[in-house]
Amino acid sequence: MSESTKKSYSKVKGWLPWAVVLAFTALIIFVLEYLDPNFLRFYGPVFPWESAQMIETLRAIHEFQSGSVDLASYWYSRSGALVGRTGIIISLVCLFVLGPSLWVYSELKHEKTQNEKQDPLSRGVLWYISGIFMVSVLVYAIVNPVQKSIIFRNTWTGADKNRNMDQLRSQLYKLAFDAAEIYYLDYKEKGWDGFRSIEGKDGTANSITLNDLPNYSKSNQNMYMLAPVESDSVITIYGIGHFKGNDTDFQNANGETGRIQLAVKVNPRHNMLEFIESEKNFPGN
Amino acid sequence: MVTGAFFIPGQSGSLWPSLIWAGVAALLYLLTFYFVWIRRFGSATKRKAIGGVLAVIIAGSLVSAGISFENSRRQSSVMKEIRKTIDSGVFEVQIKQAMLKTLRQYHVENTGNGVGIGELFLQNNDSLITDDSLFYPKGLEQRMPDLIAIRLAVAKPDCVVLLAESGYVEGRDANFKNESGSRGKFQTRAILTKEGVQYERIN
Repeated sequence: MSESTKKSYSKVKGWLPWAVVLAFTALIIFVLEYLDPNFLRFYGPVFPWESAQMIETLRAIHEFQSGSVDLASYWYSRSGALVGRTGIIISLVCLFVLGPSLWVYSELKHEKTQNEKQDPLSRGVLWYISGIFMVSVLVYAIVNPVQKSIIFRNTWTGADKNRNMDQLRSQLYKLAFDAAEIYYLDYKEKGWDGFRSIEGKDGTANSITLNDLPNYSKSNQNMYMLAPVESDSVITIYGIGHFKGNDTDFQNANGETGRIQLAVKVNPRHNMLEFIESEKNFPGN
Repeated sequence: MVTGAFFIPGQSGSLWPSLIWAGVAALLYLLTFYFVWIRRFGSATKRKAIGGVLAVIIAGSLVSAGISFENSRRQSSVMKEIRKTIDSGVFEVQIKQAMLKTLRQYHVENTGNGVGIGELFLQNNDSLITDDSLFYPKGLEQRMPDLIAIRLAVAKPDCVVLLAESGYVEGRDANFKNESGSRGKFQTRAILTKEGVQYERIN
């Protein structure tokens, strides 16, 4: 065997145990996932921050529902997905203390005892256990932040869109109530011809416009429009948001395409106020 | 050391303070451990490899922890915001619907009968008003006065006044005395007269 071949062989020998560790890690994850398809989803969160986030979410939901601050300690799991404070401490100690210590210790031990004739795979059980553990943590430390940052961006963009939808709904309610109020107050003088003859500030009677509604103000971001008044007692008000909606081809009332939209039909004569299904473009994911 | 650091902050409420303390302790341990033990390796490649692996784990952990922390912070704040939107939205929608119904009857159906607007409101909502003047309009059948309370403050022939108070959402002025006796909570007032509905936030 030539010197260069010996060197190459030695290098391969050095990596062989790591190839075994990688294969075992993959096999263990595959078997666990096979036994429980939810394994990665529920038990995958190796980092304690994941558990902390889940518990804090529960806490926020509790506060949202009951209106009181949840001071529970969550020492133990309350569902399969949570490990509680106890699990967080165990996770921290394993990840940052036991795992690295065992790995470095077993590497040192191997370095001191290794010799040329030794089988490259005979490194001891401890080395393999700590190796599998460290490879799992290393892969997780690379993949997890990337996945989380993508989910983070999508989640909060979705939240902004939903907030935009809430703004539209809330403002449309206000405008619809304003229109109904004007209609009732106008009835005494003019009867049921309401929306087609609202008395303006100059004393002339014209069809109702958004400017007649006290809660209307031009928004920099959202747009509100009144459909042409074709009835004495029914009007439709559109609210168009500044985010793209689920249907990107949706034709908005203002001529734009794909924006979030809601429309409310106001029929004060029959005491009715309804959001029109066919004119909705909900926020997408 | 890590476990001990975890117990420095109190163990009720948010667990982020405990986690941050313990995380800092774990980081200190890892760094100390690395610099003390790494010298014992003969191979420079091995030293670099171990240093690299630990650096990646620390960096990944820091990024992951940062995202989780920010998620928790935002979730808590969004939940509060949603709750505020719901409470204020429920107040306005439920109250205005009930009042506009009375206004409609007053101007459209009841013209000339001489029945006052307050009497009409009481007739319409008799079954929805409790003995202690709490008003539960349709849509608020789940009676939870500790969370959302609408009180009938005045019902006169010429006007009706409703006061709506959240048991959870904070108002602008922390010293504001609410109708229920609590302090600083979100409160609105709606006044119905024959001239229409006047709705305003008073805290």
